[in-house]
Amino acid sequence: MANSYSIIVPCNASEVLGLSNSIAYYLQQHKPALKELTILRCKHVLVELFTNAIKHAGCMQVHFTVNVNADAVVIQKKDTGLRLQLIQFNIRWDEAAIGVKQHLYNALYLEVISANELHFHILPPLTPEAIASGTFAMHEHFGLQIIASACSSFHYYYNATTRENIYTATIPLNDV
Amino acid sequence: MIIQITESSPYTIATVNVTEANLEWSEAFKQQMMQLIDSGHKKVIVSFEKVSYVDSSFLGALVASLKHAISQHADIMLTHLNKDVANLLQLIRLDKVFTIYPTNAAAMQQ
Repeated sequence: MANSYSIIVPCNASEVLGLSNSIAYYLQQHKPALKELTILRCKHVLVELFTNAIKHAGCMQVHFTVNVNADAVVIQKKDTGLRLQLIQFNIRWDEAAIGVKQHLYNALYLEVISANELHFHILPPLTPEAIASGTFAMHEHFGLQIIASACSSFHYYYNATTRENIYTATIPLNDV
Repeated sequence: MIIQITESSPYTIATVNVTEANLEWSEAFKQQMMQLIDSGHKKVIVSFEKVSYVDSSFLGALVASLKHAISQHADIMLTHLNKDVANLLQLIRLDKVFTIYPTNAAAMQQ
């Protein structure tokens, strides 16, 4: 069986569970030794990447690619819908900034790498001192938080030439 | 109705009546939970026995319901979470925010 699984699905909520189950099946078949918790995390990431596209991208279809290597499962989602808007997070593409979403127990950090690239991180809860030092408050976004929590790295890249939104999520095999 | 209500005074059991608790249902769920709390129900058990998966939109509605419940001095408990849903809550530490029981009976014994 190939190391890569690729599928294009209509951007519709009724497709979410089927997509998630079909990719979980592929992972189980391709790598039987994969831990159940790793597959669960992959399912959570798929559901949230897909849901995010349905809610925000306004596109007709989404292209998923799943690669399994020795250390990780790498899930990539591409669509040609609206690019990720940062205004809802109170940060701008043209400024190097770190956005922070303060949550009850977790904090989601958005790190602007360039005008087209963004990295998401989960870090321990912020202290009041850190908040006072000039970080940016974000609205709640459980979807991004779920993906970032399940991954060792989670990146967004906008390809201005092809007008593609490219999300890359890496789920480690040995972290569970 | 997205939730099916069963009274077991002083508890109210709100069974989520869909298998895919996703963005299609999250707003209706939130509205019905708000109405339930506003109508004076103080101990609400949300049962996920029919639910196979939950997405972030539905989790957002659940958290909004809890915030509203707290403001109204009410309580929300979760029961019958399957492995996928329980793992999702643990992943973003919402298992620390909600009171979770394996069954409705266990929730009502507290």
